[in-house]
Amino acid sequence: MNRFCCWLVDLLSRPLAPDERDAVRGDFAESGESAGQALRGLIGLVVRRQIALWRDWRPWMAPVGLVAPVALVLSQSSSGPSGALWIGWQLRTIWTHGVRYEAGLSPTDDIVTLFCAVLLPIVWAGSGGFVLGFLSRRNAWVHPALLFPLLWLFGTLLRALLPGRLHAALFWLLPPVVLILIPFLWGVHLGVRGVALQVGRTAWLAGAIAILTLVMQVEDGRSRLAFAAWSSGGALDGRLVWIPRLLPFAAILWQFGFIFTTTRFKESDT
Amino acid sequence: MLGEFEYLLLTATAHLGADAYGAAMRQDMEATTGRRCSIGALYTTLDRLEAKGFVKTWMGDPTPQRGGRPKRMVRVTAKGIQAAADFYGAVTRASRGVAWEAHRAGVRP
Repeated sequence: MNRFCCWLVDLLSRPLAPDERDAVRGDFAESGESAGQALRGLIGLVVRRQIALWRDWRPWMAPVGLVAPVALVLSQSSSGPSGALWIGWQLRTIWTHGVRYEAGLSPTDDIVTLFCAVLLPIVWAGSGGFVLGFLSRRNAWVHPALLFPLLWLFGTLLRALLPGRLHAALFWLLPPVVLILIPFLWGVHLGVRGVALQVGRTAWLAGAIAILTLVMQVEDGRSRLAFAAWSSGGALDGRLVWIPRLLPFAAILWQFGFIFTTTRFKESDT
Repeated sequence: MLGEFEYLLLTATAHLGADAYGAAMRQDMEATTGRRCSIGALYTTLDRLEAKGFVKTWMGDPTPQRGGRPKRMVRVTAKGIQAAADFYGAVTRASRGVAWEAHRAGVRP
């Protein structure tokens, strides 16, 4: 086998368990197989292994761990994008006119909204990726659920390469990559490695996310009310408004319930 | 009840004794049957046999002719020996009186 074939065999054998990878590559070296035979045999083994992994129920459950957070973060029902848009609008107004947009909200409202809009997508995407990686393990990196964000990134990059659109595309690409994609892939990485979070830390994190979500929903309600008041010539009276949207809390319960359960199992195993 | 390929794999393991591992078993099976044995079929069947408790596998020491990589060593368990004996007995009983049985080839059309 030449160096390219060796590299290809090394690449293709990555989905295999480390011991099996060593044994198979050793068998190829010992039996002096041609590159074609080795590649054919290896692809056959990898395909058989992948099929065996998909017979388990866990990879099928994994998209639920992904779809819940990403859908919530990306949809208007979640506070992330609407908060981010609001901040983007404020920054644009300051950049253009030198003053912030006065709809009755205080600078504290803006800071709280910005804080939550940045932090919430990161933790949502990270925990979703963790659930996906933990459930799918060795087939996580070839899971169709993982292909959606990667295809989206690829499509946006392609659009960015069109003449004259690079700046605009990068402007819209950067926040989702930093706030969603990177934390999500990091979560998948931790999940695949089977990293166990401590129970106390898991509960603390779930509580913190629930509070952040609640604060963001309140700020979202306040900004809507401020706009309505401003449009009718009035002003916001400073009260707190909370229009309950329970879906994000249900998703927190599912994700952290899952992480909590796996942590407990890991602790009882050791 | 074992499958045909599982039986051939157990037989190769028994032939090779303490030297039974992936590459050697493939060579043995290919020499015996005259058919090519894919590495995918070998290792997935080994896993299945191990899950049934018919063989035991472990990682051996690395050797220079394997590029410093270890072998996956295989040994037939008592349960595996029993399963192979049952399969052999069933095939022998089922083959009595048929045209392709030893010394009877060509007797019947």
